[in-house]
Amino acid sequence: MSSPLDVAAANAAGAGHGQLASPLPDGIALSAHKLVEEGARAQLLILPGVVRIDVRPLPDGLQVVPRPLGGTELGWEVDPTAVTDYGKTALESEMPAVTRFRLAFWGGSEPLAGRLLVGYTTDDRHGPTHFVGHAVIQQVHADR
Amino acid sequence: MRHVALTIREADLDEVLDRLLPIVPQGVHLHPAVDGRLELAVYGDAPARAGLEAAAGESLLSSGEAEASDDPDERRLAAIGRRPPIGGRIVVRPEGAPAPAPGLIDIVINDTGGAFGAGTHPTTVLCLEALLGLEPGGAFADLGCGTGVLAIVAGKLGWGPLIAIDHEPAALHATDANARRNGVEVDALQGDLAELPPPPAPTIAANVPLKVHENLAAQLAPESRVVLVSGIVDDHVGAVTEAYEAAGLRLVDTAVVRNWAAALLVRA
Repeated sequence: MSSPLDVAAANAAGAGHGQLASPLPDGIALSAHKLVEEGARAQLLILPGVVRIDVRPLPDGLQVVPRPLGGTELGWEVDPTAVTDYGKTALESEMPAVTRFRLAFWGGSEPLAGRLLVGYTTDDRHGPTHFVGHAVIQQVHADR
Repeated sequence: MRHVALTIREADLDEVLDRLLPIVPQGVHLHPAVDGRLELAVYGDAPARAGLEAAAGESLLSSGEAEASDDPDERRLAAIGRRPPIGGRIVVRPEGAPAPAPGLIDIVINDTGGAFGAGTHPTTVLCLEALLGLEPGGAFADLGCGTGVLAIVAGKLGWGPLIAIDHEPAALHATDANARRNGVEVDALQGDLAELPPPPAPTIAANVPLKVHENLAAQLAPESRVVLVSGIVDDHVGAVTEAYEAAGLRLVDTAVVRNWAAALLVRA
């Protein structure tokens, strides 16, 4: 069975979205950036067979949707200390705003844990939002 | 600009997006579902219509292709004009979006200044739907007012006088401007609702975070008989309900959309 942390597979799956993947000890790092129109849901990051991270800027909020793939079970929570003043433009807020998430995956070939950072900014109330996504996903070791 | 519209079964959305989003880098616009049917719109030059239809698979109910404006703002306003009225009666829209049919409550929210309350967030929608189910009358307090949309709708439905409180100056400016635009008189006040007592209005809508609810419940005036609670996720409904029950209220209804919750409590 192929590893869920396959860098080549992640690079291939994210190639059309400008995603870069690189190996980490027992893990993988993913990053990508994208402009997304208000109301559109777009893929930001993907780890095939594990998770796809979608973003959707809305007039009253920002949806970040971790979508489990391939039968993987997903648990996630928002880091409440992150800056999440969505709706403010660059004139009204320190930029970029940042949200952070903790992720856990199980039910696949091996349990995984991850951290996700999504930075975003817009210079116009309803203009496209500039997103930057970065995720680190690693194997879970019971002794750590 | 090219626009391809795919109508699918709402229940199949996740599976369709699994196939669609990887081939549409610019993303897919989701229009509100009506009767279990959901329209997905793709703008721009990415995959041919046949490829998009194939991605929709057996979930596809219909599709179409047309020209759309190159201006994203024009497309945004047109999409707003297609939203179904909230609770079948209320349309919240920015100036420039198509006016609703006669007979609907038309609320124009043009000035947000970064304040919350453009009328699209689940907490706003849940509060507006709940207001439609209440008997209007007497003073109404909109706590954490943002753009003032709840107070403005309350005024249109028959509550008054109207009080709106927020800690952000931008929200008070927005509430003032939007109230004037909609012909409603709202007394907008600045205050930290995490510390101050709520005003003794018979009806209160509080679209605020959990810790603010804890303060409001602890200092709730006996004159306040109906409290519409939102701004919280569904995991927090129990804690918020307990806080208001300790203040002598009882829970009569809850609603949840996309993990956001609203609860209606009345004095026992």
